Amino acid sequence: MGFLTPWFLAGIAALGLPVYVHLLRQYRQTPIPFSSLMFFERRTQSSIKHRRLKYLLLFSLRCLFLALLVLAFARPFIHSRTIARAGGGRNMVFAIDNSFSMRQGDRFAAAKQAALDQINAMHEDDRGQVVTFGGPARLVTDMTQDRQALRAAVNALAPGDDTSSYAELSRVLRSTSESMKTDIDAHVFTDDQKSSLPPSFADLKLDDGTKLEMHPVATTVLQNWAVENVEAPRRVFDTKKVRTVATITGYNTPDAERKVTLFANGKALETKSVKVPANGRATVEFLTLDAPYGLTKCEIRIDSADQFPLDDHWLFSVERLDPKPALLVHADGEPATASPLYIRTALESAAGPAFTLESLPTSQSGNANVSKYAFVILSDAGPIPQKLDDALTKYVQGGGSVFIALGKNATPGRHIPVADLNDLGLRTVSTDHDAVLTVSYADTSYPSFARAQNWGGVEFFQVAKLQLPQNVPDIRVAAKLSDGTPLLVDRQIGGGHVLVFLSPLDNIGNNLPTEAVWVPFIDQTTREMGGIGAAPANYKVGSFVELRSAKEKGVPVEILGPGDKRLLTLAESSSATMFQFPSEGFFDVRRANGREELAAVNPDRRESDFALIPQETLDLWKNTGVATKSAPGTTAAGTTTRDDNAELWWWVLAMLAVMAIAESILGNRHMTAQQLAADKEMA
Amino acid sequence: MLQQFLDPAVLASISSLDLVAKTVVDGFVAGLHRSPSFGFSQEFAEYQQYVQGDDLRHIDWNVFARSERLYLKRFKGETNMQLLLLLDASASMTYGSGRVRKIDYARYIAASLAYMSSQQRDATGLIVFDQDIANYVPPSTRQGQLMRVLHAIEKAEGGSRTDFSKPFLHFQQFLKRRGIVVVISDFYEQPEQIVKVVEPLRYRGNEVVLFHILDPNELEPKFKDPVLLLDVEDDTAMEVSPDYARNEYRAKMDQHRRALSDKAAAAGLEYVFMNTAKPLDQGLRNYLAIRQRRR
Repeated sequence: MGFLTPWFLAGIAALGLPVYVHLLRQYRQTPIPFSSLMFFERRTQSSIKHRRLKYLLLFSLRCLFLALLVLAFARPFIHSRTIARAGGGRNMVFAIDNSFSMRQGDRFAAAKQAALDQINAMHEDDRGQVVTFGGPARLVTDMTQDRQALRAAVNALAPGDDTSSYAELSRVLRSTSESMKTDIDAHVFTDDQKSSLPPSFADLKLDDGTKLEMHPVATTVLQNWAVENVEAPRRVFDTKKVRTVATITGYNTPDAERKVTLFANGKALETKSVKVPANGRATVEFLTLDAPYGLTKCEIRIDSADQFPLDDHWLFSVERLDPKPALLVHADGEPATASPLYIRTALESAAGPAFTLESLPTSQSGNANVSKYAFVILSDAGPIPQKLDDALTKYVQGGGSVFIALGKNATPGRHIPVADLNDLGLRTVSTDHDAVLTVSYADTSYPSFARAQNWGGVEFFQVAKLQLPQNVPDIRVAAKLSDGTPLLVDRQIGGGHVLVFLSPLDNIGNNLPTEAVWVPFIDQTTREMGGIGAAPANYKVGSFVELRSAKEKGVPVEILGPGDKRLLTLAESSSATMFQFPSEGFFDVRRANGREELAAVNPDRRESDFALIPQETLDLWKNTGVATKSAPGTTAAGTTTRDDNAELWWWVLAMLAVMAIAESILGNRHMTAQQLAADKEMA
Repeated sequence: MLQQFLDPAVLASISSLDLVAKTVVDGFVAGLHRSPSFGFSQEFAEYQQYVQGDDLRHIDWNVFARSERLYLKRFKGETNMQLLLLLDASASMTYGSGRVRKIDYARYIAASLAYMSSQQRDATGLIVFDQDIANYVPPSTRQGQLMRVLHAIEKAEGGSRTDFSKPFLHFQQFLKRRGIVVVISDFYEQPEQIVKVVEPLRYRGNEVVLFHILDPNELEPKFKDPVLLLDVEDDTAMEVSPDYARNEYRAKMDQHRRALSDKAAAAGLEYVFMNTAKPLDQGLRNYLAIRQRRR
């Protein structure tokens, strides 16, 4: 038996409390007058000797109560030795690394052969399980004595394009050990890549009783050049050639010159030479990519001439589109130099202008066909025609986005179109009397503020008040002003969003259009509203892509993998919300909202670094699982036993509750006035 | 029947001290009449012609009836005996486990002796002391002396601590004539010291009687649990276990009483132990025996 938190045992000193209450305090009594103490002697020992505890049962209960309380905090446990199996035998886990790096040479074949050798060496009583950890760990078989099944499982394994993680392997080994409550022998067949170690060594901790044995299939560090990354715009909206920057990295390499070639749809466009420093990286810029309209499969390739050619290329895709039209509705009579000018300028100033802005005064917007616009902006438009209101509501329900800026035309009590919110009027800040309002909170996870974070100099003089309903989950306040009022409110309606900006988009109600943050704010906001902002430029193997929102249930999605192979079953096509890219290549993703995306998926380049784990690190890792209990657990008969800690604290708590009840009852009986009087009289 | 009036508990219900004394003495004397071994009486000696100033109570009215002359009746018992009562009124004397405190019991004794003494026309005096002399009534046979003595006895109440040495040095000056000196106390002092300070009284030819008054609880303390005792004289407190009180204390108390008795006897002092739970006749009996010897 032991204690998980033995320091709490110091609380046992609290047992002095009942002793004090029952012995010392009871003994402290009123002095009795006596004629003379001439014949008495001060003999403390004798006196104490005759001090008697009162209410012995109550005293015992109280002592027991405190002792149990201390015990519960100390968290006692008992060792329970569990015999793994009546018949004995070892439990073996064969963990095979099938990550991208194992594709190098014959590493994976060597790993499989080593695993097969270990399986063949199993005793009849031994049980085994095959696990892979090239990516998310996968239990290929159950723990079985069927060596034939184990061999078949190993033979069926193939290397993948994902990244191995020793932390993931340790987690699986811990889980297996915990669930089986036995010692396990883990045989790991891997190339000992240092890059597969987790940042924290604690993540490698093995459970007690886990014996780790490494079977390295690589003993030397390879020289390897790889295309580490490519930067290129995912979508282009103009006719300019696409700028592409590739990063070439050398792992354990000397200075070398490498040739880098840009391919588009399988056709080599340009080749450049680049000097890659020893163990360093170099970048190459291409300005020759003239992508046609639509989706283009692009690739950067190097002539590495090393022993691992699989990482010598990088896939990426470019989509050329025409700029999408966007509608700006502004108040009648608003000068052209006000919000329309600022918004248009911001859109044109953004890198790769994706939208062309059409502006209409409110009075002429009734017949606008909003469905053809990527998004709609109502810039302090005031009351809009009912027809436009209906069209916008339908537009948002169908997935469109509307940006509403409130300004001097805000009227108290007016219903804000589409957003289904009520305007409470406009507050104008007087710089003579009031403090100027600034942005005190901006949610950087919100797309509008992901890059536009410098709001320090922006001051607001006109701010509309909004009545926000409570406990509505689809309303999100993305930014707040210094007085706590919302600045930007996002409300999801149907498949689309309505963004309400509580200040006008001109330089009267605030100075936002003249600040540097204006262009990125408008650019990111409009891109998000236009549906071209969220997706990453490229994906790694094992990463996920979102296929549908929660409100797009039942709408079929489709994914075509390399070779135009459909990767989703019919059931998955109508229900899957996420998809994990299993391998390298181009994946054609057709989402529920009709948008099509060409996802270029590449292996994680950590797999290209063949640096080996230092031996001392491996020894430390092994030692985390060498349990002192496991050694004596293996008996002469080969029986594997396992010491387990069974915590007793909840038993102690149950006894504590019983003690508390008993103490209350007994204490109540003793402490009645009559009883006290009787005791006093007896004394 | 009359013996019950010697019971201290009965006497405690009588508020008037002179009545107490009368009750005790009359009851005691009535008991003695049934006992020939003691023969207490005042033997007739002679008649003496009355002269102005004599006490009218001593006139023999039978003779006057027959001869119409006033004669005083004289008895043999009438001597020049002097009784001096030394009453300890220290704080320890106020202790009492029952209805009668030691000081009450001592007062009964003193009052009874004073009454008996006045009946026999002895000069009676009183000294009340604790660590000093608290009250002094000089011995006298004058009319009203008994009431003065009784009044002084009644006023005696627990004072401070007992200190024999200081008041007893002063007693010497009060003893003009030989007589009987009765010391009534609980004698919480070392026997050697008590005898040392009392013994000089004996040198002047006085008969000294020590009445040792103790409460039953002082003789045999009965504590069920450990108790905290507070000395009423010096306010010191002490924890006392029942075992100690039951064994060692009793032994020490017995030894103290024996030592006091032995040393008093060796010094020619009379020692009378009195338990406040017992009747008072033992004290009176001892007094009469001593007086008999002195006559």
